[in-house]
Amino acid sequence: MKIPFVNPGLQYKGLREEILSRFDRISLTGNYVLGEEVKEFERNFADFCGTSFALGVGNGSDALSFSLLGLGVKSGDEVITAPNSFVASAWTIANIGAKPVFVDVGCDFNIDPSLIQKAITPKTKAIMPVHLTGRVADMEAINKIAQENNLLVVEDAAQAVGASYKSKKSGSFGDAGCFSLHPLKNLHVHGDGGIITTNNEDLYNRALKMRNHGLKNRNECEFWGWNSRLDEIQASIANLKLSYLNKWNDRFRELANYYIKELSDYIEVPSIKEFEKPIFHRFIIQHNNRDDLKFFLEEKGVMTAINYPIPLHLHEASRQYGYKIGDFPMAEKQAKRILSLPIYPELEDSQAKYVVECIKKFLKV
Amino acid sequence: MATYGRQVSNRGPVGFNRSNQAATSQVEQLARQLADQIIREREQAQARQRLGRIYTPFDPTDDILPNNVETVTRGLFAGNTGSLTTMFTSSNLTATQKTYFQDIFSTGDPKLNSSANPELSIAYGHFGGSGSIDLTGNLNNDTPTRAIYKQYAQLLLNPNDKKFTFNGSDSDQIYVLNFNRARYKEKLDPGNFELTLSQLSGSVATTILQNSFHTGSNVKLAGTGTFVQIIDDSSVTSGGGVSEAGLVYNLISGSIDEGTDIYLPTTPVHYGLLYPQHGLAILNADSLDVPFPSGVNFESVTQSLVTGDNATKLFCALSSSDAITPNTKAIVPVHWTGLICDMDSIRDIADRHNLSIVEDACHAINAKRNDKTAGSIGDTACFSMHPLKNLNVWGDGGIIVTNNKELHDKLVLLRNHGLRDRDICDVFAYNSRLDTLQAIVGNHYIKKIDHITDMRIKNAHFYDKKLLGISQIQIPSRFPEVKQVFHLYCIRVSARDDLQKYLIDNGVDAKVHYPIPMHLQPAAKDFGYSEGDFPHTEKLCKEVLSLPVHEFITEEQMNFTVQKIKEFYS
Repeated sequence: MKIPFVNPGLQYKGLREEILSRFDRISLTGNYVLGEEVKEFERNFADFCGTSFALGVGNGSDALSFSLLGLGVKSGDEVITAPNSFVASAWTIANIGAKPVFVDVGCDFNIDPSLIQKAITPKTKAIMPVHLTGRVADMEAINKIAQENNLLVVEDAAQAVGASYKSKKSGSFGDAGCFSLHPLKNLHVHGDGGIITTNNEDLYNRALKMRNHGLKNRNECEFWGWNSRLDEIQASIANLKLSYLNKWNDRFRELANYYIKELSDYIEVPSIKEFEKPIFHRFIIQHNNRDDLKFFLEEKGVMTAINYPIPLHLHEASRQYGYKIGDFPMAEKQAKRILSLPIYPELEDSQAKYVVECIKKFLKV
Repeated sequence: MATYGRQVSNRGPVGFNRSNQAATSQVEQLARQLADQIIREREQAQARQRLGRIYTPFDPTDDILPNNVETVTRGLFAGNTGSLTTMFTSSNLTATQKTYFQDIFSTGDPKLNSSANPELSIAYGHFGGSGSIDLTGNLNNDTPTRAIYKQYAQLLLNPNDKKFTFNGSDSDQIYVLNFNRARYKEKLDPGNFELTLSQLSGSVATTILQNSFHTGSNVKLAGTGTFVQIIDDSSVTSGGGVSEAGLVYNLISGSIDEGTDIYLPTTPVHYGLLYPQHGLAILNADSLDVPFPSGVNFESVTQSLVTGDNATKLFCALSSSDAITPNTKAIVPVHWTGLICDMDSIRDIADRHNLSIVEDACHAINAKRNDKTAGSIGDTACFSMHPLKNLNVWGDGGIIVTNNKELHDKLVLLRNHGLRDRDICDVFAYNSRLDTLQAIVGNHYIKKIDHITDMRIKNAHFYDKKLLGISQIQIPSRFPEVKQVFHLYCIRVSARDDLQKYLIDNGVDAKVHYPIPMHLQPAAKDFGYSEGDFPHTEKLCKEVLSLPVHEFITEEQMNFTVQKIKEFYS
């Protein structure tokens, strides 16, 4: 049996008629940039997350950059974040001239709040927790630290659309929440896209101009801004898919629970607390012979991935900050042991069962 | 004034004693013989000269060509050029010479390039002698700057006039631009003189031809721009006229566009005087230098104790007048409306200053100049594929072209998080990728771009023809060497805003690209520009109007537009 790691084409198959008709409708108007579809998606998405505002942008990276900048983080500041995320997380901080200050993670792959206080310096301006794998970081603890130290909180919720923590949705905890709509995400468009959520009207108004050249209106430019807009066609697709998201996220959880139930006795699987409702953008198991396991599964036709094999502080791009091996033992240990299993709503029960069987075969249980 | 000439006796050669009559007659005889001989020889020589000359009578039928008028235009500078953009000082000048003047050459330092052409000299003069020390190293009245001020005052002012007067007030300090005597007589034409000066930051060492110059204090220019353009007022106001020293005009802020139009700010600033018959421009240093705070002596403001420093300051202001400073890294020419800039000239400037060129070719897909497309001369050219562009996709998209493999590889990294491969990040970088879907659209349209371009050019030419002769409309120049692709069809019109409203009310989607120039946007406030800095641009912003020119418009629609324009003006 061949089981691809991801398969976005399957989702399109189910929505083909609806997407094509939307594509056709927008193309006939010729209004491809910042039209009604973007506005509608922003309203829907803000409602979905439980925030006052949402703002569509070109991609998740820019969502983070605009949020940090719009909230006043500037060159020379420090921003605390996790070292095990995708490289874009660090870039958004480095991009504005600030320094990414990494803090090690816990067993849940998210930033360990008990280590944050030590990393705070007079230059620290914000904490940027990453809701990795679709699981919300410990926002109660993080917000408390932020409040005590007068820091901003920007949630990197790129992987966590719809995930909740104590009955609140990701993107509604911090000063801003930032989402990616990249094709591999639980809610995705057919190209690059991103969206910011916030309750801060000033940030919203500023980011509104940032994404569109800094223009106040057609002719007046308040500041030199970016060009990073969510395409009208992509917003329309996102609108359509948002209506299916809860259903899809339920299926993610169903598959995750199946993996946990079948594998927890034999291999390290995520342990979920009762107050959290992850969306399992990634389902990650851990094993000391990770590379052998990955190779074994590939032989069996089960494609897996490693998210991510090199922690952020050990990339060439991080050299300027002077980090070294051993700085973040948990993140470094996980990087050697983690393996992401195939998980997507279209994955059939029989396929999930096959994945489990193969893993058990490798473990000889 | 006394003159001392030779005293000559009218009775004979000098020095002989006339008391010895006999001897005298012998001597007189010899002298007369000698004199006769000399006269004879001179007459013979003149006759020989006459014999060698050929006289031909003037024949009006052959020698006059009827109705043949030729304009003789010769540039002020070497090689017959009218403008001087690259300048070199001379390493041949001695330190003493430099305290008086700096010679300026056009094609290189004469020490390194013996064929370099001298174009002008720059000198700084001060009425009281400030701005230099005397040649013995002491500060007193007997200094080069004092000598210079007095020399030029003597040459140009009335006998009782001791100081130069600029726009009604005396100035103690002047800069002198002294143009090469061999050339200026015919070509330093009033009404045709434009000078660009840049503002220099204080006390920086500017590297010019491997020589570090201490530039002293600011050459501070009125207005907040980084450079100022200066013209003479001979053709624009009643200022100037004839002085004791011949023609003289005021030098004021303004610019000459394409050698014809004069642009003046509302209140021109006076910078100096132009004496075209002497080949001299006298600049009022007070208007170029920082106003000195009370209690501070002038020397401490000008930092002028460095030998020849003040003249060098002005040289720096002149030579970096094309807005290039030591911090300049790149030139971004914009191929506005699809008209490719003069890239050969821009490349020439960029090469001289070691700058990169990034072509903003967003309007210029498929455009050419001398058969070279956008992107063939710059280090990169950047195209937008926004839905309004000639080659568009159905959302946002852009594309970069380059011939530089190394840059290409770097850009591949930069657009995708700096990822060398899926897992290794060389540099934290952007996420800015052209969507596959949009690339499909782009691939489809690129096959049609020749047709799209042809249609737009055809439509533009249609408008050109139909609009010709409407006196309120100015159609921009068209250039035979340029394939202009008309992303926009822009014309200059009078009563622009009313015309635009009239057209929109009649269903014609006329637009303005753009009503506010970039330097006057709120976003530009930190750069300190102000109104009047770019008079041509500012004028255009008030006059430009774009008419629909896309590939789907019909002749009927264009005729309707033209008809409505004519209606508006009638």
